[in-house]
Amino acid sequence: MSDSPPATAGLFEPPGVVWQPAQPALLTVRLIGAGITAGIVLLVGVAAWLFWTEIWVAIIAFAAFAIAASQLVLIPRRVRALGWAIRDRDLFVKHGVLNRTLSVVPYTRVQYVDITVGPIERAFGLTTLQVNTAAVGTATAVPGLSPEQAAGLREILTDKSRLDPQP
Amino acid sequence: MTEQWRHLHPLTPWFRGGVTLVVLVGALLNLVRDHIFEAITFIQTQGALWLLLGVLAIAMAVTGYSLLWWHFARFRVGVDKVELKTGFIFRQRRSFRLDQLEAVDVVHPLVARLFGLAKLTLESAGGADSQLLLAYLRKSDAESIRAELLGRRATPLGQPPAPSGDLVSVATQTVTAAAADMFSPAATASAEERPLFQIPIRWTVRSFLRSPTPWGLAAATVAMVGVFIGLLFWMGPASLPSLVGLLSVVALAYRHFKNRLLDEAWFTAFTHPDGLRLRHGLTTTINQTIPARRIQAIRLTQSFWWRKPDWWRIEINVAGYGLSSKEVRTVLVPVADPTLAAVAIQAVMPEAVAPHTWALLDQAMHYDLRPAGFAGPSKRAGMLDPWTWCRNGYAASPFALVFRTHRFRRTVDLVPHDRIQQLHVTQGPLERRLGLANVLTLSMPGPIIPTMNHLDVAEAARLLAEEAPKAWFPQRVA
Repeated sequence: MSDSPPATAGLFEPPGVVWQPAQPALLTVRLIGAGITAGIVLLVGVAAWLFWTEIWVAIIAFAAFAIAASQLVLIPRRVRALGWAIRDRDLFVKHGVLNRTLSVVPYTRVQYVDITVGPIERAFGLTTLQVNTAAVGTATAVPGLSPEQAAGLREILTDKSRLDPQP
Repeated sequence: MTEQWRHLHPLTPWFRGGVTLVVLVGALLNLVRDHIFEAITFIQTQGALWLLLGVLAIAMAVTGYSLLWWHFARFRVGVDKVELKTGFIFRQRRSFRLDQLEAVDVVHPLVARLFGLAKLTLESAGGADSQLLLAYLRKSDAESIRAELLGRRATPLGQPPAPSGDLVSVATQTVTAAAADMFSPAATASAEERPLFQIPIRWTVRSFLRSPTPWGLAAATVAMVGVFIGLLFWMGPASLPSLVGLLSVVALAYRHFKNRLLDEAWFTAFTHPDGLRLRHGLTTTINQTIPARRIQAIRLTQSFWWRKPDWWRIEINVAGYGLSSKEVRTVLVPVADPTLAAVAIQAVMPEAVAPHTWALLDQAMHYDLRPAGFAGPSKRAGMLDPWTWCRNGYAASPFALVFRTHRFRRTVDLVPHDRIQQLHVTQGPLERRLGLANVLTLSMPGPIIPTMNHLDVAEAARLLAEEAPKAWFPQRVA
C-alpha cells in the first residue's frame, strides 16, 4: 500500500461541530471516585492478606490495587476526550481514548431523559444526563454537566420534537 | 405553562415499605428454615424480646427510608412530557416525552385496590426499562391522568397511529392476542386470515440437510458414542460418568433438530388486519403475529450450501412493546427463494420491495464482488478483513440503507432511514493506525445491528454526514 492513512481527526471533529467539553470539576469527581474504589480494593486486599497470610493472596491483592490505581492515571485523558455538541436536529456525544465512539442521537428518537446526581457530583455541582432512545443497549450518557447545562439540554431533547418534521 | 410538582399518594411509603418488609421477613424465614431448632432454642434462651426488637428496628428503618423516599419523590404532568424526581442521596429526574408514548396502563394491585390506589405506567417502545412508573396514585387521579395523556397525544409524531380507536386498547389487544396465540397452539384460522404462502416441507428438510450444523452435531454424537463404547470396554462400569458428556451432546443435537426442523416445518403465513400471522411446527404448532408497520430492520442470510438453490433465511427486528426478547420470535421466514422472500417482505414492509430498494437488495444478495452502486471499505481494510473487504459494502435507496457483509455466509441487512434510532462511529487503536472506522446503525432491540466495519475514515465520515439528517425524520406512516 502506497497511500498513507488519512488523518483520523476529521471523523471525530466533523466540520461545523462545536464541541462542549465536560466541566473541569468532572476530573476531580472522577479522581475521588476512582480513589475511593482504589482505597476499598486496598483495604480488602490488606484484610485478605492479614487473614490468609499467603504470598499469592498478596500478589492478587496488589494486582487488583494496581489495576484500580492505574485508572487514576487514565482519568485525565478520558475526561479530556469527552465532548457533546447540540446540532439542529441531533445530539453528538463522543468519548473514549483508546476505543473512541461518536454517538449521534436524532432529537426525534428521544424517548426520555434521565438526569442523575450522585453525592460526590453534588458536592462539586455536577450532573449526568442520560438520553434514552428505543435503540439496543444502554443509554447515551453525557457526564460532567453543570445543572444549568443539564436543564438546558433536557429542554432541547424533550421539546425539539415539537418541531415541524418537514425540512 | 408547566404544572406544579406533586407528591405521590401519602399511603405510598406504607405500601412500598410493607412490600419490602414482607420480602425481608420472607428472606429471613427462608434463612432460618434449615435451622429452625436452633432458632427456637435461641428464642427460648435469649427471650423473644430481642427478636421483637430486631424486627422492630428493621421495620423502622424500612419505614423511615420509605417515608424519606416519598418525601423526595415528586412528579408533574407537563404539556409535552411527564417528569418524575426520585432519590435523596443519588438523585434522578426522568423526563418522559409524550410523543413517544406507546401505552398508558392503570394497574390495580390487590392490596392497593382495597385502599382505592393504583399504579400508572407510561410505556415507550423498545427495551425493558423504557417506562415511567407512578406508584401509587388515587385511582381516580390515575384514570384522569391517563385520559389527559391520551388526549394530549392526539397528534402522534414519532410513531404511526394505531389503526383505529383508543391507542392503548389497540396496543394491548395486539399484545394479548399475540400472547394468547403463542400459548394456545390449537388456535384455528380466524375469519380475517387469508393464506399468503406456505414453505414446502421438502425445502425445510433440504435446507436443514444443507446446513453444516446438523452434520457437525451428528458427527459429534457418533464420536461421543464411539468414545463411550470404547471406554465401556476398556474400563467397564467405571466409564458410566462419561455418559453425561454423551447425553449433553445428544441434548444439544436434539435442540437444534427441534428448533430448526420440527418447529419450522409447515411454515405457513396468513395476512391479517393486525399484520402477518405465522403458523408453524410439527409436534407443537406455534402461532405468532408480526404486527404491521412495526418492523425495524431486516436481515437475509445465506450459508454457503444454500447458494445453489438460492435460499435465504429472513430475520427481523420488531418493535415489541412490553414483550421480553424470549417471547418474540425473530424469524420471518426460515427458508425462501428470492421470489418468496419478496412476498414475505412485501407483507411486513412493502416499501422494501419497491423497485429501487429491491434492486439494491437483489444486487447485494447475488453479486459476488461489490456491485457498482455500493460503497465500502478500501484495500486498506484488507489487513483486518482479507476475505471480505472487497465484498462488503453499503448503498442507500430513498427508503433504506442496505448493507452486505461476509463472504461465505452471505448477509444482507436492510434498515429504513426513518427507523434508525442512533448512529455510532467507533474506532479502536489498530483501526486508528490504519485510518479505518466502523459505522453502526442502532435499531430497536432485536438480532440485527446493521454495521459496516473498517470503512476508510473519510468514507465513514461521509456515511455519517449523509445518514444523520435522514435518520432525523420521524417514521413515516404507511
